[in-house]
Amino acid sequence: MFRTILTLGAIGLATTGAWATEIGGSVSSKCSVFTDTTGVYGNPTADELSTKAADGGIDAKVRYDVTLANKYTAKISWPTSFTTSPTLSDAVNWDGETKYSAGTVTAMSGYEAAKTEYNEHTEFALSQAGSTWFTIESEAKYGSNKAFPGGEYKAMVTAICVAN
Amino acid sequence: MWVASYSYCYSDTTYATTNNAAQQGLRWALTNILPDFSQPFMTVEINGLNYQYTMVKEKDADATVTLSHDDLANPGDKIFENTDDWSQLHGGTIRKFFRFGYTNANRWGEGSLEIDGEGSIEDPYVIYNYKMVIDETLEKCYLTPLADPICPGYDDALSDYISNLEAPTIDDPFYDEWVQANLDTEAEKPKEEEIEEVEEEKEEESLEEQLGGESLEAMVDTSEQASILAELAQTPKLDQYYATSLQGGVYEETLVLPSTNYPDNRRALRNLASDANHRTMVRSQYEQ
Repeated sequence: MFRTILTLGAIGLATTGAWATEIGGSVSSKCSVFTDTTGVYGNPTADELSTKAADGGIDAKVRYDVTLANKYTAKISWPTSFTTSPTLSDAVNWDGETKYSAGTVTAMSGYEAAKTEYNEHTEFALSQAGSTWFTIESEAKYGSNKAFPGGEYKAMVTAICVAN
Repeated sequence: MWVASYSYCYSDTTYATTNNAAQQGLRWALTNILPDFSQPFMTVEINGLNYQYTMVKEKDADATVTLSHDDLANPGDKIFENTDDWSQLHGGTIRKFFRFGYTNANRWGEGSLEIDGEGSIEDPYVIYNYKMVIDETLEKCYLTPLADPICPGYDDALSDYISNLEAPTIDDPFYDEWVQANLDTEAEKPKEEEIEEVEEEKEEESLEEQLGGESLEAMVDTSEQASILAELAQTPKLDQYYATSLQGGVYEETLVLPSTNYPDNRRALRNLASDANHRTMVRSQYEQ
């Protein structure tokens, strides 16, 4: 999310009869990202955490509001580490998927087919002005069939707006 | 000259959102999802519409989806209409939000989501933002005009109610009004003394009219008086009355009491032994 404030000015020199004035302005971002739904991990098996509804979880959902078409790219990354968890003695294997969910313009339905995926990142070219919802799915599997220790687990999805 | 008038109106305003209107199908009536706005004391105005559905179609197919509402105030027109063109696009979920000025829900006819082309709609979701205003005064008056003196028809309803009251208790909500109405009725009736005075005045007036305001001679019929006196003077009739004689004779004693001893009534004597009884008897002689 961008928010830039520019102050432009022209100041006259202090001479008799001269006066100074200021011209101010601000530029607000034309792309905003909001959390629509906070995801919840389900625990279908002892060694797995998943946000899939079938696994008892809830997918996270973010909304992008864009007022200018073809000026921004949505870059969304599913988590690759826990921000909160009990002490883990083994490796966690992460997986996830980001999908177009809904939009305020019919042409946004093409975002899903046009998306680019690499590693945990997914990029969508925001070619339409309006609001777009994206769903982020996350899965974590622990060690070699080891059970996750009891406790609270949290992970972070990253969603940013990149100016083209 | 300033003339000021005051009126008080109590209303309850609620801003709310409906349930999913398209839950049962792609055609719906707002009367099924909005509060019952047919009541005269209730106004429902719509100022927003949100919808979402998933369009299932092939990318190469042409299709449009239109959400619309008939305008009941202008038959043939639409009060709301929005078309999504899915032609040559992937299917997907669309979500839209509309805000507009408040329009009375009475104008909103049947709503529908219609597809023109190849494709189908899944998971339709249509909700409305509305404002509901309940005029509490009108609501009270709607239930009964007796609810508030400012209700139309209050006076007539109160009059009917009071006239049908026979023996109200003090718990009756209109007991005071009933008492006041009776007092007013009594006040309107002329008092007996006044009636008597009026009647006496009328009699006097009538007598004066008869007299015509003339002398005593006008009041007395002298010829009639003379004839009465003449009749009284007919002494032969009186003589006859005095001359009547009754058949007389001697009436002999027929009751014979044997000479024996008659004892005193002791019970009566005991009764008279009390001073109170004695006094009562004595007093009774003077009471007649």
